[in-house]
Amino acid sequence: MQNILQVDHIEKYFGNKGNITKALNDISFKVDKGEFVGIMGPSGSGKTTLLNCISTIDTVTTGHITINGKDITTLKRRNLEKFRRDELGFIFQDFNLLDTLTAYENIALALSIQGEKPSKIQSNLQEIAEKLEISSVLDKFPYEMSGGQEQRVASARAIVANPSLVLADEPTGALDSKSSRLLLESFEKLNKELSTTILMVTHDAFTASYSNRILFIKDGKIFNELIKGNDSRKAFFNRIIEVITLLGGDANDVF
Amino acid sequence: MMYSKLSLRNVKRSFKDYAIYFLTITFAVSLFYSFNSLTAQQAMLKLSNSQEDMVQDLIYTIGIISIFISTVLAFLIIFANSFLVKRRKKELGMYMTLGMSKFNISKILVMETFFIGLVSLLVGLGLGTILSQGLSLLTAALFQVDIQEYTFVFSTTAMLKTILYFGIIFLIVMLFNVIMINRYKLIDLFIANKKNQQVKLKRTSTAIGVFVLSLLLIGSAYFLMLKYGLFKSMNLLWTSVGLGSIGTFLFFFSLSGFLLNIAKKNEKLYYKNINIFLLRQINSKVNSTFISMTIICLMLFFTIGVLSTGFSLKNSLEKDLTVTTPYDSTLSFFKYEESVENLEKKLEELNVKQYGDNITFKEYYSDESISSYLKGYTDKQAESVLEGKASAPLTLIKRSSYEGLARLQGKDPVNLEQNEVLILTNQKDMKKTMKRFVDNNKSIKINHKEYPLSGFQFMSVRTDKSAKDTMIVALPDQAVSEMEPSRISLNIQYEGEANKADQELYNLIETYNKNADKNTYLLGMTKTLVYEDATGTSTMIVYIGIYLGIIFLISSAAILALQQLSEASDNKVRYDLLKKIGVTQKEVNQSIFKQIFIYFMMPLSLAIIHSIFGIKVVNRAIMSAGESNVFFPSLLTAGVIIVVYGGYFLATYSGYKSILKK
Repeated sequence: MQNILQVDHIEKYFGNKGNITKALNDISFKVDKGEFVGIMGPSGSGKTTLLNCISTIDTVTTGHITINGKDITTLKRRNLEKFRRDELGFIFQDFNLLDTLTAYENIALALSIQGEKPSKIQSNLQEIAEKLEISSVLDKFPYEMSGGQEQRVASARAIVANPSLVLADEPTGALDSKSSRLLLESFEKLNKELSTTILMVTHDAFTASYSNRILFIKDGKIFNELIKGNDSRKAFFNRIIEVITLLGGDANDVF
Repeated sequence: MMYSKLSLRNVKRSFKDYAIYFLTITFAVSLFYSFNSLTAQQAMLKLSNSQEDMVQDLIYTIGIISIFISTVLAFLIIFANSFLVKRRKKELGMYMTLGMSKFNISKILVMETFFIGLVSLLVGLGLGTILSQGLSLLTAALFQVDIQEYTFVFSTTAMLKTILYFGIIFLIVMLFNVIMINRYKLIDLFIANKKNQQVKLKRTSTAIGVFVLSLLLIGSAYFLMLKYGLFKSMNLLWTSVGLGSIGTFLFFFSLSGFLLNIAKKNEKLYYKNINIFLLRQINSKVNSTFISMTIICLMLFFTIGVLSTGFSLKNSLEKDLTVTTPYDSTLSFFKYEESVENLEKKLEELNVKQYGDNITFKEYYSDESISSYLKGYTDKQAESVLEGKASAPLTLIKRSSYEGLARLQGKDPVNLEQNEVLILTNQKDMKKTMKRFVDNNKSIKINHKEYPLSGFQFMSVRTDKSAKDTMIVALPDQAVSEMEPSRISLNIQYEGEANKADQELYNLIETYNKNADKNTYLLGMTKTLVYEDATGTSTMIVYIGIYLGIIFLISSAAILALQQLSEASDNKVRYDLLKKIGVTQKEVNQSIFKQIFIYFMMPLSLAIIHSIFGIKVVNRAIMSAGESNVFFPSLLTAGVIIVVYGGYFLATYSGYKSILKK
């Protein structure tokens, strides 16, 4: 298996001398191509900081992050922007669609900033829209769509340019349970059919149960790792709950 | 005084957002002050009596225009202010949730307006005082007079007037703020700007239809003006202005309905970089601001038109005066009821022959009209001269008068045979027609008698403001001996001090006409007066042009700038998002630049097209008055627009970027 993401002993400190918070404290892990990895942890555990560092929005204090063979901790700002554009896809909790653009335009934008040809933009877009079942809302503006539709449009935008790694930050955080299920099923589909590599941060056990492997983070460290293997989703879900109970038992985070 | 502290801090903190608003008011105040300080500037100029009268006229006119300008500025300031308040909806909503009453929020806004008003008034007056020093130099140059002695000009009257006018404007603004706050609901303050605006014309075909209609309206306005000219009739002029304005409105109204669809057809453009986003930004802006776009376009058109034609009008008015001013002064009476002898006596009694060499001559009207002779020989220029004067009679003078008149001008009179006659004209546009006429006619029939024709000469028989003598015929003395003269005139070439003679004659004419009965109006003109009048009129035009033009220009630019800046913070989220999905900072900056640039250029482009036609029409109208050259004035206008408009554009661009960085 090709290695897409490699995180090597990264640390991230906040604050100044005398008052240092270690948001990330010596974290290392790998993600292979075609994997669907979940990252779980309670609030304040450092999972969003980790995602920000991987997504090049934030920088690490020490350590290295290698994505698709490139060490992003040594890239210059200009190159970082280009890297982000060409190698990464983003899905955010609050969708972050441009409210002035239609769904079609939101998705097309991700391709046009890479300088793709108009004909390729159109064909790629149709294809992904069909996969995510959003063909009917392509001409609508975000405020005319439901939350679930918006998030699937956002997913289409993240995936359409065929990035090496898709980063999803609490993608179901703002969705009701039915929309969540629909979205996660499409993630599964994308992961299986297009072998899209997905790294998803969530604190929701149900959402996490759709992934193949879960990293648990607490106080900036990797606390545990779960692999789905041949388990059914239901069995996997129960194992997740067990770990969460172990983690500190905040049952509020379960559903 | 917690509230005043709060509002003072608000003003300080949001100074960057307020900067353009503040600068615009400051400029407006300084312009207002310096143009109204003309009275005080007079002190240092060496003006003649007649020029002083003209300056008085100018001051009066500027006073009236200032009222108009303050109305325009009131609208601008209210508009700008409401934009700034809208921008702060969330902040005001916060105050409300904290339990502050609407009354107290209004109090904060009123105080903010007060502070800004106070500072901009003070700075504006300071700047205006400096500006007015420069303006007096301009006044001196325009009136073509020397500066007696440099004195520091400060006008208390102008200062008080400025404070009064702007004080009223700010009071109105405060009132508007209070009304606006009282109408807000808390919920509106929090969910401001969430929704995309609806396109006004949903169907592309309707939008294109309206667009075509707008082009037709604008086109017909151009056509009317080009065909019939500026001075044909007032109704026609207003019809054209109306057609043009409605056309302009429909142009911007329909633009957003199909602009995007057209752009989408051009896939290379549409799918390039973040053009998709850029096009939406512009489209939604045009969609929501087409009314202000229209007003701005028309104001810019006015500015460009008035600045470029004002200067060229000045040039044309001041050129070619040599032809119409062969003598130092001319006095004349038209004959109405009184007998010629009486008029001759009155002219004698004026006792003006003491000033130098002179000649008295009489003019007679023949039975034929000028146009009856020239039929078939006229060209376009001549036709425009003769237009509306179809029945104007041919004017006759005695040969002896002609010879005397020519000699007094220092010209050798043309030698005429026994019965020969000579045609005179002082209108440039008639030259070619006259040449054709004398080339094709050996003789001319006047009062039913045939005379051999010698030729024509380009000369004036008196000093006047403009060339009015289309066709005068000098014929043998005995030919008119039986005729009753219609006008008697006296031309003088000064000997001795010209200044003294000019002043005395000017006073003489003024006092004579004040006391005389209406049957004997004394027409008097001196060469100096002609020149002063030309500079006076043109100065008035240039002054008003600059004053109105620049106020309009900064108003337009300020509206555009504030419209862009007021939504910069809404767009911050969007640009941040673009950066997150991998758009580089450079591309974001480029997109902002393009967005503001296109937005600024849209009304300007149409205004420039309007102006090209407008200048053409005005030029044609003043062509007949003299030579005109729009090239240099247009260049100057372009310079002013680039500096002011461009300055606002750059300020908007950098302000926009700094809001996004926050």
